[in-house]
Amino acid sequence: MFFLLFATLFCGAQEVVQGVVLDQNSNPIPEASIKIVELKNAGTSSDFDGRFSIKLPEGKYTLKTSFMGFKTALTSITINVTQIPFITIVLKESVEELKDVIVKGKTDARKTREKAFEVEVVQTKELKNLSIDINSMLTTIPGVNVRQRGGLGSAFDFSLNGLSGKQVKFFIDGIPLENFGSSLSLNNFPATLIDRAEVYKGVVPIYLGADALGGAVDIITNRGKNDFLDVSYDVGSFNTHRATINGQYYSKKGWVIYGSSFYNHSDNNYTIDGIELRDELGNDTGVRVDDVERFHDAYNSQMVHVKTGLVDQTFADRLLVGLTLSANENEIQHPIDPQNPFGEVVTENDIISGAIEFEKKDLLKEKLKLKIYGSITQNREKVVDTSSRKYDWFGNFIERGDQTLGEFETSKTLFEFKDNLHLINALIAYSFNESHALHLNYTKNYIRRRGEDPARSGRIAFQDPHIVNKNIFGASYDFKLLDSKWNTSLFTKGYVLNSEGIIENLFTNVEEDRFTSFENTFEELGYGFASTYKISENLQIKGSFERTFRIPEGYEVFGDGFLLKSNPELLPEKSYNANLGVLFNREIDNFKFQLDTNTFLRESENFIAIRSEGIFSRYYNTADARSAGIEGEIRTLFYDKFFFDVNATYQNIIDQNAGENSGVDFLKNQRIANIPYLFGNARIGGRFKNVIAKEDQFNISWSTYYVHEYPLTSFVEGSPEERDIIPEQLSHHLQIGYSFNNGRYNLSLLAKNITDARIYDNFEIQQPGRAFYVKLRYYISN
Amino acid sequence: MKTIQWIKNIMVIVALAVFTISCSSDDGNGPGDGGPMSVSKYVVGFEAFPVGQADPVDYILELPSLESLTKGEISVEGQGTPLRGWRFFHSLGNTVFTAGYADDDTCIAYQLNEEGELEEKANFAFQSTLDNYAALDDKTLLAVELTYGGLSDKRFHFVNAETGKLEKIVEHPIDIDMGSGTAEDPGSIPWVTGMVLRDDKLFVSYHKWLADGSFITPDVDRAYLAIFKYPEMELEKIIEDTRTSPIGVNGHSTGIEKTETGDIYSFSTSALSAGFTAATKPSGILRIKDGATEFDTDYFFNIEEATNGGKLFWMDYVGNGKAIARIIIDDTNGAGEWGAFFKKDVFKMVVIDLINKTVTDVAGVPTHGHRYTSPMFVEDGKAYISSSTATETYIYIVDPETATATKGAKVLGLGLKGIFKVSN
Repeated sequence: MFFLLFATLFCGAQEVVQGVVLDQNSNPIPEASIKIVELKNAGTSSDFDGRFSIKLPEGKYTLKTSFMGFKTALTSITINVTQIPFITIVLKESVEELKDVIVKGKTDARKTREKAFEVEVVQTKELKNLSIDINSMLTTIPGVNVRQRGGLGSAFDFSLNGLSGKQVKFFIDGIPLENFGSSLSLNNFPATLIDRAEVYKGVVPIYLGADALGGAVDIITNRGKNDFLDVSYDVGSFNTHRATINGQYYSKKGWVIYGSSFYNHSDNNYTIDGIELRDELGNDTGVRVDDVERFHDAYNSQMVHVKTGLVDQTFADRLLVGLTLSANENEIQHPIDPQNPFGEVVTENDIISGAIEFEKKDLLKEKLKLKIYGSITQNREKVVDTSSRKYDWFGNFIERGDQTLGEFETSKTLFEFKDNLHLINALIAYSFNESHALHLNYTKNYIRRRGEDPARSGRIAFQDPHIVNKNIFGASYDFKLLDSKWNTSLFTKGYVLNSEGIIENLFTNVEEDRFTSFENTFEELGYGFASTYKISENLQIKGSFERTFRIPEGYEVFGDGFLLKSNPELLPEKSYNANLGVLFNREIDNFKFQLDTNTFLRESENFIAIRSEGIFSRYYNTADARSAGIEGEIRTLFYDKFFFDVNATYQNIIDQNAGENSGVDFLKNQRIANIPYLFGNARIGGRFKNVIAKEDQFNISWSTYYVHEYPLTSFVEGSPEERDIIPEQLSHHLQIGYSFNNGRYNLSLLAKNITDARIYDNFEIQQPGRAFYVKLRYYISN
Repeated sequence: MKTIQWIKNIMVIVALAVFTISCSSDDGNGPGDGGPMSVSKYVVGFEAFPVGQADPVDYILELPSLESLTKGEISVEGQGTPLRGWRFFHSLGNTVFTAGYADDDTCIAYQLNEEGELEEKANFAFQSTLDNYAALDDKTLLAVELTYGGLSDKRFHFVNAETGKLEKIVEHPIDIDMGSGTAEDPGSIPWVTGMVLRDDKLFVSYHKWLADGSFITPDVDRAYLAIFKYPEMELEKIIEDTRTSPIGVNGHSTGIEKTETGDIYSFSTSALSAGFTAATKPSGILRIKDGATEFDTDYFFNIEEATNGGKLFWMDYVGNGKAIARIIIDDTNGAGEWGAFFKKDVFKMVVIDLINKTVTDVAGVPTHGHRYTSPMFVEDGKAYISSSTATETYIYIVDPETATATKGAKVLGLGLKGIFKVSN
């Protein structure tokens, strides 16, 4: 302003130049910065509609327009009294341009975070150049803890505010991943393939249709309308290779093809410590051996996804058909106890899935939006356990006398279950006006499971197919009050689950009792709200609540027809989930600061857990658990170059009825063991542009991950010196990246667990030590 | 008032002095001198309540005196050593053994050290599961590895009770029917339920599974028992008796037991809630007389026909011709799904007079359940037995002479798997 005043005085004749800043899809970009290269301190920014105006004296100027997430545009203009141009500036999206959540302009991530729901967003923009998968991305979020059993592809347990397993549901672009096999789980997807991940804590919007007791994670893939090709390859320790291809092409007539693919391989042959040395008979010699290589832990997975169809037609905004193929092979190194290695057990999964999606906006005078998705999938999970050998950690084995034994199972197995899945998702959004909207969502998730085992002659699990038909209905009413400062969503969800099948009772002598067909239905009604109020531009409070359920699946109620028995009295897991959080942003000169904190309560009943009964097992409703905690995150940015982020989570998870039936007081409200309760992350680093060449960027960051020690079996039982402890975990990682030619070429180095610390996510199951990864990525877009 | 306060203070001082003196005089013989101390302790295998979604955890816990079993509460709050997974507990001499089942395949030996503290002496790993145990003599614990399917030899583990080390493994089929390899005729395999060494003969009782892993019990119309030459472990013969069904119950090691006179008694359950898929003969007790290697044709105690009788789930010899047993109250409760192993309303406790063939209900023990029992702990002629109802678990101290029980310590857990006494 000062300059403008000065310029006015100096130049006298000033013309008002007007213009608009648009993205490639002609959507206005608000708050883009427009600077006049020739005049120091001259500039403006675009308004909400992307429009700007600036007073300039006559002459030739270059406008430098920039906005986070887009390539900076240089536009030449000439101003004289007779010709005052209206300038249209189109910014192209740039992957390299850091889309930090702190920037003033609202990225998708920022918009999502400011929603009334308690949601965390991880943008992958910056992570795409790194050798990481989605799981390691999500580990950096407060409230999230991912416990891994080993290296790449290993089994993991994802926990969100203390709830885990089937209680947390996963989605890709709003479509549930439930019942999809291990080759499409989160540890397969390299960050390069996706745009961002949204983590809904405890309270889940209706368009994510599932019985998510503890929250949901939605993986968002690229949604831009530009043509691009993104190819990456990375190689690292333990013979790890990962490659991705991702691209899309839009024809002018509205035909689009989109494809993405990954390939992952790792031998996971890292070394572990403390292996017991035993004599021929099995007696413990007392000797412990360190640096023993894992020899049967390789993982291999691949996926191809192709989608094609029409966009921006009169009858549809999107009408696409897609095909997904994926498969994996996972060598299993050991059971829960790592002292007993396997040498040959393998699991396999393959998935083939076809989908169709239709989307039409702007119906009924631009008020109605309709989205329909349908897919048919076949999922096969197989266990190959056909060796009777007993291996030791040094590669030796003995042939066991009993040749019917498997390594893992009590008898050899080629057990396989084949799932046929059908999925339908329909979403209707109706906007009454800018401030009031109604959403309706329906998700149908149908699964038919059948088991086979060519290696076994007797009875096998799921020999008679089981059917689970899950229908989730949702309705929400969203409204904005007080000049859009107060946003609220009220919602309700209906859960209807049918399961049916036939159980054979092998152990009866009465022929009529031998086969029992079962069918049952669960119906539950959930409800909740999410509300947020912007106290000021910088300060926002958020509160949300949901009454939610997880409906037991067919096999949990009716067993598997073999050693898993039925429990028709099993009740759904229920929970009251509540969040209360504060979001605070501040920008002082060259210092940007963001504080995000949330307190949470999960009051859950009827946890479903399996219990053994002689040779059999059965699912029961067990704990009434309460998880209460607080999580917080601070993000800072200095001079748009240096950043320091830190977050921490503390949660207290108790079983409210342990020992209750037996009049045992000291167990009541006891903390549940074997769950991390204090953990956090810190990251410090810098980003530097134009270091060696123009339009290059150099990134460096150091991150630290901490989990406080926690006991395996109990907080109060057992002598404190004798309790088994999962020790404190402190690991450090270094990332260095260099991009040039405006992000077309990217090179990065990742050093994980730099201090080669012994880290454990599970009792005595050691995680990989120091590891290095190099990644090359080529990205081109129009 | 002041006088009273004075007296109080003096009393406190005197009490403290007495306490200090008595403690220091104790120390004269104790570990304070660094010398070894002769200590006896009671050790229990304790199955704790599950918390959260976890499975129950087994602990090994030392208790200072017999009074800990008869009074108060037994808890692992702040004490005891947590072990891994579901476990068996057995003892021989002054060593307590505990072997893992599904989650752990090591057998750990615990002994009291010189300071009188319970500590791990040794451990050995086995291939899959050690399913039945017997204290053969003063030195050797025999543990046999069995399978629910397949046609392989059974593996007998000979463990030195003093060192806790595994010394020898002998593989033997015992009594395997190889079948024809077809689905109709998969063959059958033995499941050992009791082992007794008498002089140079090892008696091994068992029932059978179909070898196809279907958990079906064939050949239930008779009792059978293998006799081995010991220590050669050569099979001498297999004897049988058609008056009752196969001997013993899964998980119990007392299918056959030897009395003071050298007679061997067996029990057969014939119960469909105790893991058998068929039963045609009555539950009953057979005898092999001292010196004999055949079932005594003059002796059969039909428990189902006896007054106060029924189907036996467990029996353990206590002395003077008497045994303590659990009788299944209603065999249809959990039939076909191993109900007797996990339900809490399935048993009554009885004293069985083996010689006079009587069954007497034990007064003072409620209808209860108990999945797994190490050989019963007996001191001064009284048996200490953990039993659980749906809401609570107590040690019951059973007097076999009077068939009465008194309630001992309350167990703040799912149950005690074994009670042992050890000395250093």
